[in-house]
Amino acid sequence: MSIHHHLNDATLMAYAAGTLSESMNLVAATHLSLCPVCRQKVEQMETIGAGSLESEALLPVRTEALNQVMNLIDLEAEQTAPEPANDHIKSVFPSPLSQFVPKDYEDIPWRSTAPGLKSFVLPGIQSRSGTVRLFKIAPGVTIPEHGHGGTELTLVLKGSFSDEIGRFKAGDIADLDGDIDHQPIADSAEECICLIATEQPLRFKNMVPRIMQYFVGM
Amino acid sequence: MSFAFYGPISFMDQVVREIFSAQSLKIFYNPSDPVLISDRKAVKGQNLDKPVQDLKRQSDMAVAVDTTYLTELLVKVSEERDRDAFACLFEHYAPRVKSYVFRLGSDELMSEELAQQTMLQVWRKAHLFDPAKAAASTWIFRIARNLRLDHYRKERHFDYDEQDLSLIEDDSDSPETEMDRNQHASIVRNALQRLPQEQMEIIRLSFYEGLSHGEISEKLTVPLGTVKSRMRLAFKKIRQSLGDAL
Ligand SMILES: [Zn+2]
Repeated sequence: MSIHHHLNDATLMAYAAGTLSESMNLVAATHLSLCPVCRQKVEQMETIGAGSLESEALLPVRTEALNQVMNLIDLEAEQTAPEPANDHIKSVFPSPLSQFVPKDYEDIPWRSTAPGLKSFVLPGIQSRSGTVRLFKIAPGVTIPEHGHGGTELTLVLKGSFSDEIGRFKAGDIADLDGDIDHQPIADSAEECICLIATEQPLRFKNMVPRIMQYFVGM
Repeated sequence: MSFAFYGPISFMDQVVREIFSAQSLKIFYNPSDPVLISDRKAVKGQNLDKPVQDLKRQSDMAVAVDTTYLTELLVKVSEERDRDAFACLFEHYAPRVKSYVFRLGSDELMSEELAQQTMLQVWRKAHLFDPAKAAASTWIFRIARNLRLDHYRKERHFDYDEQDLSLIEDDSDSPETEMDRNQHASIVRNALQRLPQEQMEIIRLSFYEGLSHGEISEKLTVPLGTVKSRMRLAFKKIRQSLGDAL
């Protein structure tokens, strides 16, 4: 897998500082699991955070704080560490994502959103006013041109799509600001599966009827 | 009396937070701060049971950190389960993590609790620490940040998985990856000191005050796009300084 489209440096900075919303964070972490280039940048950015720790004005901890932790450590040393539950079937999804979805594409309970378009809302993710979901787009299907109320992260997991910006294949991420309009089309023989997080659901929800209206190549 | 801190929280918190935010600001903005000065006293003190009383003195020493020494301590914890090394790390980092969490809006009690939990995680996860990949401070920052998000903000932070990369060929072996991570950390910190004020400001609001880009945009009344482009510019400069150092 060679990745050509990466997370925006500003998004990576927010990931490093810990200020990305949980839903954006999940998609960013999933790309990071696949992308050594972004990972190296995040490590550099986290050094900024480490600097904030080192130059911190100090609040003392209570005298007994260390002993309390030491006691916990002693207690743990006495107990034999429980073996982590080991699932033998490996998920096809990268690790941050794998805890929220079935182990394979076939097992996902897709719901039809529009002709040629199925979706699955990830359960248990806080997404403030946005959503995180998987989309399955049939080959040749175009989503009409649209903008986004806020940032939208689209990570390709399988297949590919093209839009005005370029071609996105597995591992690539489209990190779009609200002011960018695009018109993606699933452009390979296989269906395109994407993980998409949005900050602003309203515009996105409003898109659904538009998809129904304007869908081409169904 | 350290218990004095546990009085009526709203007032004390306010006062302490103001004092500390003023101090960390001063430290952060002062370009003549001796970031690289080695001050092992800060971590080598043997009187682990003695409460730290002199806040002013401590905060003055706060920038003077020997990252290499701290990383060595963490390696000792990792490889030898060395409790004395852990106690030194605790003495150095627990107050810093506590201050970090406190400044981002938790109360005294919760901040200390999270500092303890962070250090407990340091002990538990020490076997995962790889000095070739991160300085101790960066690794501990990650743990503290993630715990704070989980416990305080109640929004999770997801870690990427080192294992997933084995699926892909790593084409990122620029010379930069070979650099000593402790050296790396100090170069980044020096580069930060030289950033233009407007870029420094948004880095401070993001990393020091935990504001999202949207919140920074509102606070400074500048467009979100401007916040993001300043972020990008700041990081570009930091990356350049890493490149220059080779
Ligand atoms: Zn990337």
